[in-house]
Amino acid sequence: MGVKVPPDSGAAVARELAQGVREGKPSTQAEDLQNAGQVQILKFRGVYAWVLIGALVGQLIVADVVFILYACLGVGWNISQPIIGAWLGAAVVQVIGVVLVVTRSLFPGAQTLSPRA
Amino acid sequence: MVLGMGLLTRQDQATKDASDILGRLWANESGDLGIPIDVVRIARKLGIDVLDVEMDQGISGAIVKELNADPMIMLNQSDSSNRKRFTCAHEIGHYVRRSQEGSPDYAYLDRRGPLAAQGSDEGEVYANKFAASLLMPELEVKRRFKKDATVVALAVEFLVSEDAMNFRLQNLGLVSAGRSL
Repeated sequence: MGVKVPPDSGAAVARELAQGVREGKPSTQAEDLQNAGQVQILKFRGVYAWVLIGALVGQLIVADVVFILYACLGVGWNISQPIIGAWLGAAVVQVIGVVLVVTRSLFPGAQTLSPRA
Repeated sequence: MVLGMGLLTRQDQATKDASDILGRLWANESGDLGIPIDVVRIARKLGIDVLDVEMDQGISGAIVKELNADPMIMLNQSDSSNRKRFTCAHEIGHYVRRSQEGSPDYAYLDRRGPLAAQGSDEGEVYANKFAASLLMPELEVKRRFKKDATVVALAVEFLVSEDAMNFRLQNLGLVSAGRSL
């Protein structure tokens, strides 16, 4: 752990800390908000990307499996064209909808930061 | 009474100095302040090195300025980002005050605890007031307060702790002491 603090020696301890940093005590540049935000966005973008891919793959599998089961067991492959169109169309719309919501709403830029920043 | 007047003047000076810094280093061309205020960026624009450093849990941060060296703000790396932001703003306050006095060499260590916020030391009173004014500019707080905002919502918007926002609202006379939104 770091330097212990005896009472009433604040300035001395501060100088000791600074000396330690100059001599190689582990330290990192403090992140400013913009960088912190970008790091966070990048981190979550990766997480969301994998979650999104997984969700979409799962959704497509479920939609296809249910469709095949319905077609095979339910109606003996005697499916009307409008039903096929509606089913597959709905699956595509859902996929596009999820992608749009995630990419447009979950990654806002840092517009709140001052332009002079 | 004289001491009281002196402290009051110092607090007013801290508010004015914070406002000057925001106008000079943060406001855009039309004078608008982007919220939240990025105090680390402001510190760097002032030529201060800002570092996250491992330190005792009893310390929130420190600033050291030595002869012929750039000033250095050290923040406790294990603190939350909001805590670090307040500490950084507080240390900038020390820097501004000592720069006005022309001091080439000084060091401050800021310890944690309730006494830190209620300190009677002139420099600490100034730095606390400066930090609050820098992170939560009066006009911006009042403007948002009118929109029926809660302490939590304001704290999130300004990226400060709820305690800090509550204290600021009380100091600005927007809520009475001991009562929060």
